[in-house]
Amino acid sequence: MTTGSKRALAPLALLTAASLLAGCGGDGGSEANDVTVWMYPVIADPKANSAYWDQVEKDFETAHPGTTVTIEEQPWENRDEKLATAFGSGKGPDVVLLNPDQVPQYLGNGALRPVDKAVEGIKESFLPNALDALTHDGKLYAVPIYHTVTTTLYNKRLLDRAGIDKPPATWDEVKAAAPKLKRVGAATLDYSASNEATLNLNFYPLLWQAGGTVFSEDGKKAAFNGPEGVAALTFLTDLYKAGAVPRSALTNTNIFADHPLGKQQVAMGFSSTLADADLARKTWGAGNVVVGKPLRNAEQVSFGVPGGLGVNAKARNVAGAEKFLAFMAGPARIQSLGKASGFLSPRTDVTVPSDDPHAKRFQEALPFAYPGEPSPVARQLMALIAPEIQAALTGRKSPREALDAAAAQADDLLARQR
Amino acid sequence: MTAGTAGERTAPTPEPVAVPGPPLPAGRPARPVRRREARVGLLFVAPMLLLFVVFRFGPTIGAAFLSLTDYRLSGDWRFIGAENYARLLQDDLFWSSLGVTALYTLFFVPLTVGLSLGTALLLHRTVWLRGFFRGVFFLPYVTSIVLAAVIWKWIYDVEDGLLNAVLGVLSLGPVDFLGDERLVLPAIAATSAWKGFGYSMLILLAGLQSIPREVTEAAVIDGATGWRRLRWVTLPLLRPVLFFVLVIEAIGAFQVFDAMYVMTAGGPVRASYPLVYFLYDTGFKFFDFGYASALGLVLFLVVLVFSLIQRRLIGRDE
Amino acid sequence: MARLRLPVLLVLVALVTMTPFAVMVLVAFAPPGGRTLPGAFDLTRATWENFSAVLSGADVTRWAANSLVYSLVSVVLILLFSSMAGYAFAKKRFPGREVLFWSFLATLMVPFQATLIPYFVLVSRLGGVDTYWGLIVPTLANSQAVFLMRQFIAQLPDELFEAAKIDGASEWRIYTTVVLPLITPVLATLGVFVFLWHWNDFLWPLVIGQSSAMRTLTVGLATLEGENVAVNQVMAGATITVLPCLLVFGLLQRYLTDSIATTGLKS
Repeated sequence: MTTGSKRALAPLALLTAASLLAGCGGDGGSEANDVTVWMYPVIADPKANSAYWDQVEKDFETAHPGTTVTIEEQPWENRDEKLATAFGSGKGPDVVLLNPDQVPQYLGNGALRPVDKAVEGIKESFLPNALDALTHDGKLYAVPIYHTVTTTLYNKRLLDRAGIDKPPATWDEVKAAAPKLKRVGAATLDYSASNEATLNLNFYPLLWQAGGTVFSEDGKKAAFNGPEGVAALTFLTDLYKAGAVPRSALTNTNIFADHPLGKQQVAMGFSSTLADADLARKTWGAGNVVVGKPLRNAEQVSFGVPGGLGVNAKARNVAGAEKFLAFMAGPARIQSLGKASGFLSPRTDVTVPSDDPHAKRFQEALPFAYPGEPSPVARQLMALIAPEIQAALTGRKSPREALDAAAAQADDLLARQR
Repeated sequence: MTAGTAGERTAPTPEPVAVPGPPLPAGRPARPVRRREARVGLLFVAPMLLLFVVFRFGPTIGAAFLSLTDYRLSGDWRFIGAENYARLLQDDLFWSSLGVTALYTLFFVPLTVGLSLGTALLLHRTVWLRGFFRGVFFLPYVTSIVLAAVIWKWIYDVEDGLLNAVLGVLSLGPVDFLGDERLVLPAIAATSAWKGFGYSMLILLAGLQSIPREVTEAAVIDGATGWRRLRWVTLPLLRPVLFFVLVIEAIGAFQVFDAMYVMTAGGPVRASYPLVYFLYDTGFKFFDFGYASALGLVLFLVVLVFSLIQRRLIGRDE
Repeated sequence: MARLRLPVLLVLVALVTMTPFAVMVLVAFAPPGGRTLPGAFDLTRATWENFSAVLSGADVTRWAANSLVYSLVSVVLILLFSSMAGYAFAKKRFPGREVLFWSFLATLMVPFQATLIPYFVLVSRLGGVDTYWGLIVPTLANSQAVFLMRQFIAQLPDELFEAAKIDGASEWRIYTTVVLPLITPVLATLGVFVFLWHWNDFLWPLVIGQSSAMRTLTVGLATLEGENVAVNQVMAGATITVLPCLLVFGLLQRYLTDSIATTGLKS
């Protein structure tokens, strides 16, 4: 869910009583004992999301009398544009929910401060991957409060119809399944190539599965146009040309409902969330939903990130902000947030209790979750790669040409960073 | 507005850019400028003057200055001379966005001027419910391009859209209007033309109504009918107005952004990624304010060229 | 037959022009999920459900309030400042008058998008991001309004003002009791335009309103669309957005259409 800016099933959660009262953005509350927080629709249902964060405000203020917290709900849409301009104009929130790829970008702008103090003594309880992803130069810049994971989701009805008993788990099996599914009028692999869709759920997992990386080791050059990247894009374009990736992939964003996977036009998705699986259970029927391990080629990997709370370098109330971080990282909050959002625990000593039938399968996928390579230009880079992938899909460029073109632009972009 | 009153008015006074307004009142007898009057004048101008200095003149000079720096969001900047401009010349994205803008203009201007002219001619010859039809044609103009884009995005939808439903009835399609590199610009141009043609229609209608009745009647007596009368009598007389409309629409087309932002996000393969979208992304996605300002200056120059051509040609016609 | 051709053509073009509005309304009233043809066009199943969904979920009411504030405050201030300036430019002599007036007009040559970046940098440095003043004040420097006012006031005979002056009225009194009543028609026309420009404005509110609470309805509509809310709800939102424009249009169509033909006003 949190992984993709467009993944939001909860667009209507934009506004709640909280943000209404807060009035103008980060301007709310100038007293130093107030902490403003920018939160996003981590809980897909807008009403549940508002209710949850309202409750957090109350619980926190009960636990810490004298410190008030104002949680403003923001949409995923254009969040970097908003956050960067807010930081730049000195109007940013005190605390903000961050994904690992956002950290280096705002760190580069001097907008974040280390938050190690907030997790003093409990640091060892977090998943090492989760901490690593949010740590730079030995300092932690966001305290993980949940962990997401994506994995493969299969439509058993379509597989059965095509006579496929074993859900395709590797690239070769996907390729082999394509003609069989085509005979029964179904596509094989879902994909979203819209400019607005995050590559973390689309091209990057394929690249990582091929054994490739987005950046060179020192982070100063593009590496996604190596042989692994070309293999990944060739895999994708071959499927697309054969009709095994839906035609509408070009304009689709990472949305389940109303799109080919949700509408049962395609047999599998490789970046599905628990929320997707739950939705599938409702629309396809419980018996038709199969959750698998992440897709495998040279590597077995899928996208999954910790969501962490970071603190604005210009925060007026640092002590209060740190109190809030520690509060949210406590077992009670991690369990309640995980239960409400369907996300997993970032702590090894806390598990989110769940009666969701698919939760266990997603828990099993967690060890394969990879948060991506940290870079201050991660988001910008996507804007450069996405159109080139479209060009490869439409056949205007070969996979190699498309990736080389994107890499040339990426190198320019990286060279301009100081 | 009846034909009579409109006929008394001359062709539209185009935007102030194009044609200077009437001369400033110089009618009063020459006498020393009274200090009191000067003070009152300045006081009355003061609020607007302050706004213009801060929010118009300032940013215009600021644009030129920023384009020579590498100003970042954080506020630090270095003076880098013409580096942004050198980079721009070598930037494929810049050239592609400029190309898309030009191509879009080529689709949009004929489409919208054609629509405006067609409806203006229709209205001009209509007596029956003219005010009503004029209102209907003008209605889309009072809405926002965002609204138009939202509606038309659904109309063009490859699976559920109205247009493909119609094509389906004719056993055609489905056509992915917004997903096809060749169709996306004409499709967006059609949306913008629908939204905007009412404006030029009114200008052209006023122009038509300012053509003296005797001229067209004389043509009728000479035996010119229908198309011939239009081609050889009406259009030549309408030329200055038509030209004004062409340039205005071209200037508007070069600034296109909203429709693409809502309908395609610039895709597919940047086939609908125009100059202003590139400027917006450079500024608000890449936070590269210096470079974005240089792009803004390019836009300014293009619009300036259009305006100068307009001034020149309209001046010649008069 | 030939006599019928013109009206038939007119009606056809009118129908095509109105079709997008018609589908917007039909889809907005269609039952949720009924986005495909011909299901969406079954009027017996019309429902308000999409409207209540979009109104309760997203903050459409807040956006509408923002749009109203943005549009109405701008209308009042632009009418006030531009008529004051127009009066001075038309009827008062002061040093630099010509230069000032023409440099106001010259700013029309600079497209807004070209100066978007310095504009934003300036307003954000002044702390105007995500505030009403940051949204409104920079848009008040409107040269078309000043131009129109000056042209109109210049046509009024000087004697009208001289008489008041002889009566010993102060300049401000002359402005409020003589000038303003005389220019009511142009105030109305310009007011309608300024309202529509601001109500439909997109790029500036998009960059200056950072939080959802500071969005205008037009920007909000674009984000609804971007967030992939059900099409039925987006269309319900679109219908709400267009209502004030239709209202203004219905009431003041004549002002609008006449003034475009005579002054070439354009956003």
